[in-house]
Amino acid sequence: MAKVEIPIEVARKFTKGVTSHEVDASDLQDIIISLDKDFPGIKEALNTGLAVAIDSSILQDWFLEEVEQNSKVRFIPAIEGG
Amino acid sequence: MSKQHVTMTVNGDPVEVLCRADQTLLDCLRDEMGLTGTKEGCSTGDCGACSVTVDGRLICACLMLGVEAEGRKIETIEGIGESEELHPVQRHFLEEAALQCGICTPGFIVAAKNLLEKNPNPTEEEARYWLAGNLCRCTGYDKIIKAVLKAAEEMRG
Amino acid sequence: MTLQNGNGHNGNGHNGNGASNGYKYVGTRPVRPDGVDKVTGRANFGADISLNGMIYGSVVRSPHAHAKIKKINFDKALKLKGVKAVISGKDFPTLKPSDKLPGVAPLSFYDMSRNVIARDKVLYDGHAIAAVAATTQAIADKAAKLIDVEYKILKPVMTAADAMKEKAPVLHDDLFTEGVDPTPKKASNIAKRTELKLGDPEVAMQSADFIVEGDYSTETVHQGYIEPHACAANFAQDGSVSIWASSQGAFMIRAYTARLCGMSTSKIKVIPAEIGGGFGGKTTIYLEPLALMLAKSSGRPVKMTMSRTEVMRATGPTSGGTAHVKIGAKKDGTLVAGTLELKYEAGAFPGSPVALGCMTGFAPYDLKDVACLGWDVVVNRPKAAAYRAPGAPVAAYAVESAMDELAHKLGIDPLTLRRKNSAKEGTKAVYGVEFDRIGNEDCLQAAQKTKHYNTPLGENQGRGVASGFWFNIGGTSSAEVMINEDGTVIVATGSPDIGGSRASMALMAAEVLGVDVSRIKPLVADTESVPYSDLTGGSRVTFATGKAVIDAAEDAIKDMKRRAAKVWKVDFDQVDWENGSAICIENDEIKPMSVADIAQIAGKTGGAISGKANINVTKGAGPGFGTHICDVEVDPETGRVTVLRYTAIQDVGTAIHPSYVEGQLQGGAAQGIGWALNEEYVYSKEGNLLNTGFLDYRVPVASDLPMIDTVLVEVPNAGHPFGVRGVGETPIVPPLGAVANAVSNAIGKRMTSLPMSPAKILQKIDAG
Repeated sequence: MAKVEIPIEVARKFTKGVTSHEVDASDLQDIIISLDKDFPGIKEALNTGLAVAIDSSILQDWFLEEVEQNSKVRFIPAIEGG
Repeated sequence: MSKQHVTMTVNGDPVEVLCRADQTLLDCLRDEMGLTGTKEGCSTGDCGACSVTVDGRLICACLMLGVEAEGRKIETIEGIGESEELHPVQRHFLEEAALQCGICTPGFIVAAKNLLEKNPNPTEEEARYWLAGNLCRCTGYDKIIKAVLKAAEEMRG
Repeated sequence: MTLQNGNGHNGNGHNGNGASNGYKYVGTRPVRPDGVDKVTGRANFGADISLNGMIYGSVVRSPHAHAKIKKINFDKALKLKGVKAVISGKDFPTLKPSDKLPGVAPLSFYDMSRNVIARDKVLYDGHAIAAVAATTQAIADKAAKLIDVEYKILKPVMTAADAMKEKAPVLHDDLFTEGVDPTPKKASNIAKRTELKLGDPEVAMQSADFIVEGDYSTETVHQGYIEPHACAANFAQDGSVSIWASSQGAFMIRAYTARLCGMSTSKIKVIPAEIGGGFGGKTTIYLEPLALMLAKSSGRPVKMTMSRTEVMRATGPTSGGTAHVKIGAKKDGTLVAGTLELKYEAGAFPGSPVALGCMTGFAPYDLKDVACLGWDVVVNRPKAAAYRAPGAPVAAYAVESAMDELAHKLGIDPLTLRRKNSAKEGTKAVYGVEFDRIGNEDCLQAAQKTKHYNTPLGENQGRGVASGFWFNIGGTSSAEVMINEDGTVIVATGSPDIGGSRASMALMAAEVLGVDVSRIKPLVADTESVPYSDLTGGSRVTFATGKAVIDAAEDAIKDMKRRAAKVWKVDFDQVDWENGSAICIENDEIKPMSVADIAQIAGKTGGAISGKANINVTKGAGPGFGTHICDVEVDPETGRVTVLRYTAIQDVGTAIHPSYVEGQLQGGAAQGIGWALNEEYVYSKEGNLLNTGFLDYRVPVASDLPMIDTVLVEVPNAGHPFGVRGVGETPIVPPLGAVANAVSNAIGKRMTSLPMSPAKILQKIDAG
């Protein structure tokens, strides 16, 4: 199971404020699909303006990245640069 | 507005140019003569990107009218350095990495060369004040000042 | 970890003996490949382009901060001889709020389009309303003045505090606060609320022995690049467009312009000019769609250049903002909790970097209980653009000031306090991510050891220190390494060179190929000569485009090994690459073939030789940490601040070309010093910008600054073959705090508002 953390604002809107979820999935796409089943509509919110951190790596542009068992996956604000 | 016929010397060559009475020397150099090495950063004499010398005096080309150049000797960045050899100021700018984007560089080189012609042995403070009319937003001036002082040292021999 | 003291070097060119880091080229300081063009005036920047039959554009800009456009009348302008085209917002496709850039960055083309040219409403002084093209610049400027615009003037709102008030004038009647549930039904100026939290800071704060708390404010500042925006556009009869422009990304211009003009990407070619500074301000478009539409309408190539006044009124800037910070600590200096609330002014459209401020403010510290709340607020100022480490400097200013205050309260040396609480490998940042090996602690330690930090101060002098953090990013980059017939090498990328990146591309290619760096020519290709690349920004080019160059060079080596194997009639795996030559592993009788040898027989062995790499570096960018030390003297009579001494210490990963790395640190420090002491947008109460030139928007000049010493802490980044870490943005994060702490320590009172003008300082001193 991957441990998934979603931003407070998204949680407030879709998950009654719960920010931590355990999801059985092997890649980011599966995680999104699985979360959207439990919390309809969350898919779009997570796909807009958010980067993903898998453990200590921040992925700005993500789609199919693999997620290992016990990985921590966090949706965080996208990073822009100057 | 009708154009005026102006004769001047630019980088040692005689030049005849037609320019409007309200056209700056900067616009004459860039638009009428194709000398785009002199840059425009502000057009109000605040940034020094258009530094040129007129009869040996350092000025901002955006603050002088083209017609005022009648009979004068203008030196621009295009006149600095020989065909196969850079001027010591140019060379030390490169060796010291005294430029990042490079837009202010022609103005700095014209101004620094002019400084060293007037004062071959400037202190750091003198160099900083002489070049205070030239803005650089990339380097923090550190390497520019070092390049100018090294060029001065080399030129003194 | 290794240390390079930036002062120690003698500015030596590449000496061929290699660097001290085990590499032959990486870490040396050769003259940059584009250097001669730039010191002789030959380099062509945005405004230097000239096209056959070219005419000139001029923009009509709003004199009002907030108004409805009732009518635009072009009659008088069109009667002027030489006028070839006029356009207004009506000539552009109408976009919808849902028109966004797909992908991660929440970029709204709906907003961008209305920023580039106003539709029914103007939202700031300088907002573009219409444009005209004529045979000379003088006629175009005159025609622009003849375009009549009728306005219904509305009340402007200029600050976040005012804009957040219940009865504030509302800029957009379709803007509803994001990030609150339920989404409000009433439109407001609050675009977004962002909250980040670890643990429970409210509870943890109760266990603190000491608490420091304060409000800090900063003003809008501009990136201040010396080159005003400039471009030229040509529209051919077959509908194909060429745009020459200086920007941080040719592909960015192509994508955004296509979208705003309703064109296919394939119809637009963008040729990058040299760029005269950007600092994030040239990561978006302003003139290009106008020039394109004027060219289309007139049938002539159109050149447009902004004046400095236009640059100040209508481009950049970065958000001014306020911060409320609270930090709790134990007696021994251990931090127990921190909170930060930020309100940033986005300008006329949503999108201030407030979320990034929230993420970065506390990043240098190990805090288990920490929360940051951010508000993105629209006001009648130009739409904020990215500026070097967007959002981070203002947040760091508040946190680093509070840390300084805390150190005083506790009687602990401010660097020791930072070291005691420094984020390190395994520390979880407020945005939830654990750091890998980082150089934060190393920088603090190096700072404490500098001669600077251990030199006593005189009367009226003060010393300030501050830390800073920036994420750094990777992204999509492409590169092609082409072997010429004589064995010299072309390295083509799609990343505009804004501060010497050609030099680092050449050095990395030289290192991989084993070819002398003087035989490598890097170039920045146009959008039809190299595959897509993200823009130059986010401190990503040396890291990500560098990685593409390394991969492309390795690909070229593979091709050259294949050629050697063919000639030697051996298997491919019998060929190795060493010191710039193919060698035969099993048979040392066979003479190695150099790049030049192989290039010479390229035709006979299968044609021209090149290698390419198109990559998206999604991870491994390696965050940057830095610590700055600043000494100032404050004149108690006048309030004038003199910066006496400045040292910037930063973990830079491996410095590919140390001189340009030092330059990044020095330049970032200088911009931060300007932000702290001089720079601010000053508006009239009607919302007109009063300081639109460099005379009164005062960026630091040479006589304002001392030498800026640098210490390059080199903790190689495990995510890059040479250990590269982005270096461009981190250096602007610490200076606001470092300078403010220095001034505060000099006068014995905390400076809580930037810029620290003499008047503000005197007021503080006189307040008793």
